[in-house]
Amino acid sequence: MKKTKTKNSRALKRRKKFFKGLRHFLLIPVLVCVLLYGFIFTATMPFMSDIFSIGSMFLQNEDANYSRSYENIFTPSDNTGDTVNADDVDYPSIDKQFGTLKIENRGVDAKLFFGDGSVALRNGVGVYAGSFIPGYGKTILISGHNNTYFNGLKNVKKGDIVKIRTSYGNYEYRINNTRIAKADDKSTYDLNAEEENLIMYTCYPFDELGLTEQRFFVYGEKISGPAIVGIYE
Amino acid sequence: MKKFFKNLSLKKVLYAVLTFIMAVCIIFCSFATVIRITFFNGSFLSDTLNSSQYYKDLCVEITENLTDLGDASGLDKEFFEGFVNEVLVREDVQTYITDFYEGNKLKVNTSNFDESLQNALKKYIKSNHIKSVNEDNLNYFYANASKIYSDSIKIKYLSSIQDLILDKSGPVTVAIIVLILIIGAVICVLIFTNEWKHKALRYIFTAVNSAGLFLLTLPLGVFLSGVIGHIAIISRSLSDMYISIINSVLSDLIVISIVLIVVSIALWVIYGRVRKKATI
Amino acid sequence: MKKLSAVTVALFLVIISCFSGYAAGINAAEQSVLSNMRTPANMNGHKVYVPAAYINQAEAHFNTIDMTQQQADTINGIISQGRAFLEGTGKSNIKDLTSSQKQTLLSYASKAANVLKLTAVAGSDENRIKIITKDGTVIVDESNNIIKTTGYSSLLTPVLAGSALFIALVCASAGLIILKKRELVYEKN
Repeated sequence: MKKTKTKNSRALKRRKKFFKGLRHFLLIPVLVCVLLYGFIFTATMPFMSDIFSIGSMFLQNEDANYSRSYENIFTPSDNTGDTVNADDVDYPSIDKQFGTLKIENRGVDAKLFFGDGSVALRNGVGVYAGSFIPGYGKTILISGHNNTYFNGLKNVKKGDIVKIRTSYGNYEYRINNTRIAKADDKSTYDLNAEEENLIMYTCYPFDELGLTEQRFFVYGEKISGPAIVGIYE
Repeated sequence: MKKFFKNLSLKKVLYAVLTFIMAVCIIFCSFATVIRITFFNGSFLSDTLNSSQYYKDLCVEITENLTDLGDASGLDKEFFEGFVNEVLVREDVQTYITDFYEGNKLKVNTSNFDESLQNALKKYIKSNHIKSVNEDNLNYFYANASKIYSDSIKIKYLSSIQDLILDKSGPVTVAIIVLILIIGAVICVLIFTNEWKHKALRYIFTAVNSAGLFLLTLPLGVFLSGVIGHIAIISRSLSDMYISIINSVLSDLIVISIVLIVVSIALWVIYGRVRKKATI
Repeated sequence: MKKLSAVTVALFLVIISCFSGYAAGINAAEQSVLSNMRTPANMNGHKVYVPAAYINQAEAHFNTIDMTQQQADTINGIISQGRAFLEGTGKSNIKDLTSSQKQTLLSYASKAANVLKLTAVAGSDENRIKIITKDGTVIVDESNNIIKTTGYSSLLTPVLAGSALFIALVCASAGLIILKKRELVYEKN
């Protein structure tokens, strides 16, 4: 009995020692560590909160994607009506192909993108994101390279028809003017225009090596295609 | 709880405060050391770039941007294939880094690139029998191409932190020395004012262990959150670079934290032995 | 008349972009925001407008969201705050703002961006702003040149001429402004 009691009390002592050791080696340092976080956080909070806030502004939910591929949301439309409801229009985001652009017999046949960055201009022609899409009733400003998809603009004449196909409708514009102007000439476009007008442009002169300051502008008026209705409530 | 406060004496409170101060000093000393061996070390950035995909991705990006420029300039897509010389890119980036650490004005010498481009374009014009060439347009093209190259070589944001880094390595070293002296002073106070040496060891390993845990949880938290890869940076090469730098700094912190934890384990073992001797 | 450069406009765009859910059309709430965006800031006697390009991008984007009146009131409040802040600085253009003023705008914008789950893409050159959603969809990828050369910044004198300036991005719901380095356009009356 005495031996068992001594054995039990020794085991108890060893257990007590172990937990005391654990407390000293682990628990107290963890507590001190937490206090340290609290201390440093409190001391640096006035400017760290701004830094964290600004830092997290540059974070996204996934790993960054550097692919130069693009998404195609274009499916041919059979809409023959005069209007299309705004609810039925899938508004494209930047670098998405949402249609095609063609000028018959002029060598212009390209994919139509929203946005006019390098992805768009490498693969087709692009609508400037600060302008609007066909059917919106405002300015459509489209750019393309003069040695690729818009090389055919050098052949266009007044009266030529520009066909733009989108998933929500098919549009036709008649070319009514062309103009050569400097790239920084703001009179070449009006982004505030309240009626639908098409402006296509490319570098000028054509087939010339090097970068030029001039652009070749082609203007068109809408002749057919569904107007997007229900935009403004 | 009553027993806790009954046993609490001013001496114990002071020792606890000293332990806390020692832990804070170890943490700051560790951060200062990591900063000293990374950002203030001239070869750190070069080694980091060499061990990452930076140069490979940078060459691809320069080629892509030049190809886009070529599209706008009437050149074939194939003109810039194989044009960008990785050896030249490495040399120019290395020169840029050296200028950064030496406090020189940060600029990129594009003369080799310009010469290669002009020679390549002359060959292209000849082989394609291009007769009409406007010198102004070509010069404008060269200027843009040169700018693309130099902008790519320049490491983003480095110029804006040059003043922060230059001439600061000395003060950082002094700060490390001062912190080590403070830690040493605290250790001396703990040992020589404590009649029981094992208790002094206890305070010391608590401070070292706390600092080790602090330094371990920070980088582990960052690694496990996966936030590093989620930084939105404009180009893959820049992303490679910044991720490599962050990984390197965090790895150094983990190494230091493991060293501190190992030291605290050793101190704990010594504490056990000294305590046994004291109780005999 | 002076025009505020791309950043400010982009800011307003960003706010718009944050909303999830699709509902084409511009409702009354969204129209109120567009009208507010068209109101100029009076910076030291100079009227500063948001360029049409950015208001158009805002409008295009409003077609993909469904803004409530409450949200519009919040956004309008933030736009007005941003305008009042700029007017209160006493500067004639944004590039003259002090570092702490720019910092204030940046911290505002960042908090708003975080609430709205937007990401600004770091590392762009000073003539470009790129903003994406947290899942990577590009909302704004804007350079200063409306009429492009190559798709990235060129040596052409930008349409929005001037030296680099910081522009606040005013975002919805958190009422904060992001600051970005951009160019300021001045057109003399």
